[in-house]
Amino acid sequence: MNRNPGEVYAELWSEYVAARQAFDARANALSQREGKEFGVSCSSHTFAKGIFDTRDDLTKRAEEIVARLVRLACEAFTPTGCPSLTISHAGLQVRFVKNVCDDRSGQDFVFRPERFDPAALWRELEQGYGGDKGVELAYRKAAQFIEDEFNLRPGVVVLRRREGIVLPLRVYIDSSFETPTRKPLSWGRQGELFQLLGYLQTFAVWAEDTSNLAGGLESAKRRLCEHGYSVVSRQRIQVSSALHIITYHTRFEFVFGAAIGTQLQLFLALYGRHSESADAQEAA
Amino acid sequence: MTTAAPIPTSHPAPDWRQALRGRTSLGSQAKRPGSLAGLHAARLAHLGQFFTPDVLAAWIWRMVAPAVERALSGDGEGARVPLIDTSCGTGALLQFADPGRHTLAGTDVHGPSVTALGEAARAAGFQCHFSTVGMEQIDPTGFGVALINPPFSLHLEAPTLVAGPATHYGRFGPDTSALSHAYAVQQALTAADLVAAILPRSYTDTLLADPGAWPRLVAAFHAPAWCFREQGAEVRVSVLFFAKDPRAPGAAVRVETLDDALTLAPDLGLSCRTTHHLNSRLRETGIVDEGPTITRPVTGNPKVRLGHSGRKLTLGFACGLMEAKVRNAVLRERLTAPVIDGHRYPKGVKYTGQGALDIEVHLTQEDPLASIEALCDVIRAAGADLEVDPGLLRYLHKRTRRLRIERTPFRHTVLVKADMAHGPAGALVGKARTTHLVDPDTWGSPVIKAGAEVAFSADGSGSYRYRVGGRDFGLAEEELNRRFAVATGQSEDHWETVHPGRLMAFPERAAELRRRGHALGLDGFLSWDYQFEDLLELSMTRGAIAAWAVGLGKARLAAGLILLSGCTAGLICTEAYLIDELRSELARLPIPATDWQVIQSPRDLDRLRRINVISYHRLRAPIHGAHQRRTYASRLRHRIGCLVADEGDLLRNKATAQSAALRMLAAKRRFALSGTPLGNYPRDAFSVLAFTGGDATAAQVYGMHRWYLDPALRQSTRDCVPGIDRVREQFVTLEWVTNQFRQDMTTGAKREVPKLRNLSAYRAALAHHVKRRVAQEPDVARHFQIPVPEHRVTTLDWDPAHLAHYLRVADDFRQWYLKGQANSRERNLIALLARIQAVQIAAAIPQRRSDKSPFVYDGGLTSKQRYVVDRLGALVEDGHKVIAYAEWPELLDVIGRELDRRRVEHVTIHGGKPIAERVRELNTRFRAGPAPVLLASLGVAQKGLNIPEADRVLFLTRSWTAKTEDQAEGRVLRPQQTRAVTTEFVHLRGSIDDYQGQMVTHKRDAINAGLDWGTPTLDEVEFLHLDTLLGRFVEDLAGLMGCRTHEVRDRLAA
Repeated sequence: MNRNPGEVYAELWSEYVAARQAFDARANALSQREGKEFGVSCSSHTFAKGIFDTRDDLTKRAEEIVARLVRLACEAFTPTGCPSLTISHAGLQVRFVKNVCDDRSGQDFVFRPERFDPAALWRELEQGYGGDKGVELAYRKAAQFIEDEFNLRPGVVVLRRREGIVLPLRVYIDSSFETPTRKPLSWGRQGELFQLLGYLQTFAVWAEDTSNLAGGLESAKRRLCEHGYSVVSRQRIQVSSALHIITYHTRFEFVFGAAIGTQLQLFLALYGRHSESADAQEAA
Repeated sequence: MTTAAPIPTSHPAPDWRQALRGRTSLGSQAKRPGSLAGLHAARLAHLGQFFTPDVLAAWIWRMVAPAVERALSGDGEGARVPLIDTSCGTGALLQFADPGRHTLAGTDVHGPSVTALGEAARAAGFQCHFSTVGMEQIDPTGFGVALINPPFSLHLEAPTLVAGPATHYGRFGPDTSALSHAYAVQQALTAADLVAAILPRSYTDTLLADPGAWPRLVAAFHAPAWCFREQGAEVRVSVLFFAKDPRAPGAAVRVETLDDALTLAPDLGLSCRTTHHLNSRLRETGIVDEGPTITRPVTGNPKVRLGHSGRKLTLGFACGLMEAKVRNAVLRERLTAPVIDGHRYPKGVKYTGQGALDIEVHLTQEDPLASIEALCDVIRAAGADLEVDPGLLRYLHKRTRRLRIERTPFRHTVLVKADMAHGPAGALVGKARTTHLVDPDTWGSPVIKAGAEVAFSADGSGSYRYRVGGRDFGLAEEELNRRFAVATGQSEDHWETVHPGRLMAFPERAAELRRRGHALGLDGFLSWDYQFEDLLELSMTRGAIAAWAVGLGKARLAAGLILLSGCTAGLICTEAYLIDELRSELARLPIPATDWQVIQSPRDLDRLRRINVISYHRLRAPIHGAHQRRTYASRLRHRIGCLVADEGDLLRNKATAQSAALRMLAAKRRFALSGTPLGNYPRDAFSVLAFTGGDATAAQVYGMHRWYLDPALRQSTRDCVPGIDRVREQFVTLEWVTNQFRQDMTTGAKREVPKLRNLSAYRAALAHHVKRRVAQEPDVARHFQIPVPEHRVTTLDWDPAHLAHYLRVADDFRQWYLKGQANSRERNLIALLARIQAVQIAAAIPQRRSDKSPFVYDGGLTSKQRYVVDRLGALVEDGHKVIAYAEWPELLDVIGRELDRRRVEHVTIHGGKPIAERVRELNTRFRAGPAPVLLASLGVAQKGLNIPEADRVLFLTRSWTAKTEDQAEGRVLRPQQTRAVTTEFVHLRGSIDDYQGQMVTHKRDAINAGLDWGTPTLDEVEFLHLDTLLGRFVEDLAGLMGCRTHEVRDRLAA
């Protein structure tokens, strides 16, 4: 059986709705019986299932299905070796649950479960993020993050050293924990550095680098982003033969080799912020 | 305020230094540095000044006191021991001196300290000499005792350093760089009999590790850690004592650790001399008083004469005052040290107006005569009554006429690919060859994807404009061709003349030369039209490179050049083993036998003939063993009208005896013949150009010994650079380089990528110096066809034992190289080549034993050797004649023995055999005989020989240069060749063969782009250096074997 998650959830949903409706019907029957037996009014029925309960329950289930499908899509459409895609599901919740299923019945709000379509949601996710689109999105996200972190504004001259490219990254020492011998990175900066190294891994995947850059970045992540890491000024950290990082107390210098440096330039040109406006101009 | 530490002496000295005791050193006032960068900054700020603690100074004084006492008691009344401290500060180490027993001298860069010390010493009655200069600016001699506490680890860089064991190659040339403490020791040892030096413990350890290199070192005492703590420095130091004379043979250096109280004070038996025997001098270097520059008497005669001597404009004066006025007006101001890091001035350039006195600078101006006239105006404005030598103007006119010809490019026909833009064109459409950035030098550049079509419009100056991402960009033609396949409308590659040549530009001069050529009958033996036309074109100037490809008849051209020059004595220089070949070629020409000779003995020099032939070996050789400087070249000096240097690319190395011998000849006309004029790297061409076209002349602006001749030099020399620097910056791709290599681009160490920068400028620089011909171009192909060889590379797998041996050697090289990165002294080219050669030998001929190598191979034939023997046998069976080349004669012998075993007849020629025997065997047994295999070393068979009998070429080992391989292959690519030629290279997988193959391919690509206008195809391909390649090879192996890299050798050995 080769069904996609949307189809699976569509089936599960319809079964759940049927079960829920059967349960509601049975509960209401019990409620009526209770009324008859004890001559009590509807409002005090012990077993009555109000329309609100059902609506609330189904809405929650449907929203949970949307969230789950989005999570599955993130996992499925993220290229191998790249940090996971992030797809916002808030808008999808509104579009696929609230806008479609909520309805009025006289004075009351009702939920129309038959209108909720997990399969359609998945189709849309697949269309928006599946295949090359997901890959491109991952690359764009990585490129834009790299551009932002290194502050690579259009028109700025590429800083070169021995044919390679040097990218300085501003870092901050956490003054609260700083001692003469220990210079820990600030917590926020360490987190961003972690992300940056992850996005450089995405670039390494794109570049199909043979020098094991991605593996080296993983090791660098562990080393630079561990809790006890202390910055040593002028320390050279060899990430791979194509990249080394020189750490200073105020900045880290990412020194890319000539070939991988050219690749990085291409990567940023193809997927960076500026590429979108260039594409738009081309299209115009 | 501290007091002087008491010292046990029979002559207690007065405390003359009382007034200086409150002073603190700069080092003790500085903040503690927090990092290496901070340490560097702090050193610059406090100048490394830390005063010696009184207690330590007292101890040192106690140690040297016996020697001083002995010297004084021996020499009696009036004798004093001269003391020196080359970084004296406030004289802590001199504080126990006595005016009646010692003289003092000292220097320091800190002015206030030196001034105060000098005043105190003079007030105390000392004979003293203190100076505010750094130790790099003094050359002291004649002192009895040197007591030094030098600044540690300051980098001294000055042209005034005195060469010695502490000096290195620096920015100003050899021996112009040193570490302060090492230089202080070197200086003190030269200056004084006895030296007591406070030095860093680490440096002491270095000295003690090699005591043989320091024969005067007698003792080293490690001082307690507290010594400099009061000064705010946590530094471990030792006090070293150097005696007047070297240690006795076998005597060890005494090494002790001092306790905190410094109680240990043995008599080391030191000695020194007094002023009775010494003449102490604290000479400052760098300031040489040469006396007044102008010594001419003031006569009031305003006459000034402007003439020339060679390229120099000379000024003649009758009055000293007028000379001063005119020279000041012309030379203007003195050049100060360059402020731009890395910039240096060429040798001999001292004044901003110096360019005005160089005729070549005037010739580079749009109107040379107007430029000279402007100079005359300046001289007249200084009040001179100027008289211009009429000969100068005639010379200028002549040079201007000649320059017009010299600046006109030679006729050049190049192969233009069908998808390449070339020459004037209108709008073009190009399809991107690869995805690339439009402007790789800025971030945010638009990108053009592979296959995208872009429209270009010519801007009329050889460049093209195009629009991408809403922005306009420009591209030079060669860059356009590199990035885009251009839709030219041409269906296939075609030959196109890029320069019409000098015969077209100067038809009258061409006609005159043609008439002379016909009259001399030169068209009779240079019978193919391209040969005669090229002869005429080359003869239009006084020097050029005839870069005819192999097999086009360079020997005949050499004779033609000499005959057409009309000189009485011309000289052809060639390799010794080609003399016979050239002799037989000349004998075939219609030149009377009395008109030419081969110089074989000094007697032949007495009566030169019109054409003289000499080998390079003989040219540089002394005529008689007793007079080494009297060489054939010196005997021929100024006697040669036209010099033709065969295989002239050897001139690329300026330092060789051959190049020196050729320059010694000082021939009027100089031609270099070479099928591969660019030698090893494209930059090599400029040394040859400097020989044939002049050094920094208006026609050849890149000076190898002088400056880069920029027209702006006429205004000021402030921005002038040595020509060699200009070549390096403009054309050479370097990753790193030592100062020594920067100086001459020949010696020293560097990491160079064989890629050409600025292709169009390079082509332009060569166009009017290099007459290029290739066999395939239509003018040549009309007369004969030389087949284009097919190239094949066979990659073989390793035998495990051989691989283990190779890895041991290769890994040893890699470790040595990576370690050497930190130490530039180890990174010299000779050491590097020796190490690389070991790797080559391990791959090609592991059976070769070397005393220097600890690695031994015990296996039999390697997989490559077996393959080569099999392949040679197969080719012979197929009826081919084969030449197998190898770098190592031992490898040829190994292959030869195997061929003998299989009864395959072969001829082996290498440098181990006499030339006559080589030639005889080659001619009788291979060319005309039955032997189907020629085993030849690359050294002896790469040039000049014609061997069209063979049609298969097998390279057992790779070369480092494309030139060597092309020349070796070219032996079979002669006009007489009738069969298809195939060249095979045999590699061992991942070995140094791959690296050499890559190196040769990149070099060939660059040379082809520069010389033959090919499109560089490897610009985008990363050049892998040897250490990277070897590292990857080991990593790949480790991956295959599932182990770590360092375990690979052990696994294989097991």
